[in-house]
Amino acid sequence: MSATDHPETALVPYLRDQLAADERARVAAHLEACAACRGALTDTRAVLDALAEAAAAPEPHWGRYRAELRARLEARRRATVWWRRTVPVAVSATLAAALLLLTLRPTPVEQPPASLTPLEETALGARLDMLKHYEVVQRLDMLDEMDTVRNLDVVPVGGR
Amino acid sequence: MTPESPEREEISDEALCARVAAGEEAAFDRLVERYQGRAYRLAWSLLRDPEDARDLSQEAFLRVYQSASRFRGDARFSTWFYRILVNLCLDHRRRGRWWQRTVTRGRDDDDEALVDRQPATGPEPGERLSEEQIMTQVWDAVRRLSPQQRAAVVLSVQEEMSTADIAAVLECAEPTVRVHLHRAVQALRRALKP
Repeated sequence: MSATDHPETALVPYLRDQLAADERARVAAHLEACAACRGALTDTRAVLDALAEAAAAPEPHWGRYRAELRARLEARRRATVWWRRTVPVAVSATLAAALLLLTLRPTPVEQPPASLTPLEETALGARLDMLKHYEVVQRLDMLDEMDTVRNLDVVPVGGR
Repeated sequence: MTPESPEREEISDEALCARVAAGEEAAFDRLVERYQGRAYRLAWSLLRDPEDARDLSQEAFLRVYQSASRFRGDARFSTWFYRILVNLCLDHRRRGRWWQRTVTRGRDDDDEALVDRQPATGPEPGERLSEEQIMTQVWDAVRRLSPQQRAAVVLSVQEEMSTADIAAVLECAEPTVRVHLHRAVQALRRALKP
């Protein structure tokens, strides 16, 4: 342990004689050489002494204390017995109810997926006559193309 | 068998705990008699409230009764018991602080609450502190420590536990306990300096 390596965290166990022999010897050697750590040791001892003096707790009546403890123990035991009796019954009842519900539940009838609603089917039926003119509609595109070919010489170079 | 008979003294805590696990009521009573003083004192030092100390130290005994069969015996009974008790006390304090914060926030307009939150006035220069005042000052300083520091200090000073045992109770490494103790002493030194 060097002179600059202060054993600050070892001071409490040192004062309480809780260090192993080799560590205790190292700390003692350091304290011989380091006035700052000797000061810290004195302060630490004063704090521990003050704490030890202040540690006196008011004592309860021990007979009453044990009687209370015994009563709490009995109450907890009763609660445990109640819990042990009630919980299995409650769990069994819940499981039985769940099973009953599953058994009595009506099986849903499989319906084919409806792609169109009746309203949509009616609307589509009303427009079926459009299919009669489908060929005309198809040729309208051709008319567009012919118009373009006819006006090729008018279209400026560069397409603008 | 008389209370002073040698056999009564010879039974270890661990053996008593095994008997509690086997359902022997008398073994539980004897463990309570052995530990009631230490349990109450430790809880009181961590909580500083007689009602809470009684309640939580009793709760620790109830936990021992209920889980005695889970005590594996690879640690000392005292370590296991203190671990239960310290955890109960620290949890209680955490819950208490949450409640205190909520209540204080709700009373922001209350003048009295504002006065309460002012730092306590120290003694006039040259005034000698009475023993009671010093104790109050010490415990106020302890209360301001972090829960881990407070537990480490109380276990070390009051229960005279080694840093290795404190580490086992707080479930942390021994160097961590040393750091907790060092920081706690530093904070207390600052707080108690005249």
